[in-house]
Amino acid sequence: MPKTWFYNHEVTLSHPVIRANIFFNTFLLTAIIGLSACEPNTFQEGERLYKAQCANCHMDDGIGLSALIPPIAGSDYLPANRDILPCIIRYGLKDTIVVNGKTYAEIMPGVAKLTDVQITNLLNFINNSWGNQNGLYRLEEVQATLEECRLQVQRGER
Amino acid sequence: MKYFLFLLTILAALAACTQPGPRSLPILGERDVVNGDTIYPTIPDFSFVDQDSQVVTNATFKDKIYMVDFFFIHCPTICPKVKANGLRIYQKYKNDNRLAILSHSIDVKNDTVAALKRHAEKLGIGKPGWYLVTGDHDAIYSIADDYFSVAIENPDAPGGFDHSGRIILVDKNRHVRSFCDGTDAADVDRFMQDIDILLAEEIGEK
Ligand code: HEC
Repeated sequence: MPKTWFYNHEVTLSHPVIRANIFFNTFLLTAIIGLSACEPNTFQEGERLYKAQCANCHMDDGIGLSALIPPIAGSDYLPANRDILPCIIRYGLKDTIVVNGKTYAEIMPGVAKLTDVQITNLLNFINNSWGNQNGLYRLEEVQATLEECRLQVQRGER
Repeated sequence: MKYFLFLLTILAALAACTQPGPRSLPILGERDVVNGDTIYPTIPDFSFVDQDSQVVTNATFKDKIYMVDFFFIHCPTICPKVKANGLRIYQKYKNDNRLAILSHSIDVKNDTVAALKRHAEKLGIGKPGWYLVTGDHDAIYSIADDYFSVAIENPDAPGGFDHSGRIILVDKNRHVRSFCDGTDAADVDRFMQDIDILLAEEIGEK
């Protein structure tokens, strides 16, 4: 079938060959969309989790609230404490910390129900949003850290 | 085409005619008619204690309009967002003595006067713009109803309490005139317009 067939205006859309062609193209498009859905954008899952679990306190744009809740956007605490962030999300934080020169002595509850994969996606979202450029976490790294925290909690050290 | 343009002009003119004048806020709540008089629900007498250990009553807000919400300090859910939006309202009106904000803690056990004071300082707020109050447990839970707000102790809820993130606007005559979802910035913007409408209607120039 010559390709120009397709662009021949004299051929109506109801022509069987054209119909088959449209059908096939639609099929291809659907398949491509379907395939891309199989590999979810991990930043999207991170963003969704952030909105559901964290934005209440840290706000949608990560700016925090006065002297009560530290910011995540532009926080110097994130790169400086990279190796304990997974544990903060799972077990919470009750400490005196300094973020961008300001002291916070508050309580953040942990979110025990998040899986290792979800925590990884969440960390990659917050570390690379609102201008943050703190690199990515790999799942193995997060898992190793979480396992260490679990043992610390078991020994009553955390 | 000319005819069409003509029609359009007429339509536009008509639309301009029906543009509402300054909107007036309704009195909210179920009303009663007694002997031909309409009785509107009103906020009852109250007496609470604020972050400076001073007593706050209806008289504190005499000749003012005021906004109300319910919160607790260690609230893991909606409170910080309501507070962030409350702060926007506070910043806009803090030098305007025609109105004030009244936040009730529903965690009477933990949110002592000293804790409320610390909380106010960390938020960067103070009187006469913003009162944080505590008081008798039953009095607080029952007045939440009068403000059409939810405050329920529930051990299964995050933090131990269920409550709505509403901010309520009360006029000089103890009538509720408007409210918004304090977690929703766009709704709070609309609410701030209502504040201006009520100020113009009730108090006039500052
Ligand atoms: C109930 C409010 C609340 C929630 C919900 C919350 N946080 Fe926090 N977060 C805090 C507070 C308060 C601190 C400071 C704790 C301290 O002073 O020890 C904090 C500290 C942090 C820090 C370290 C300081 C900084 O800002 O860089 C990070 C990172 C963080 N939170 C991330 C998260 C993430 C991710 C979530 C969602 C899973 C979350 N938080 C949910 C209140 C909250």
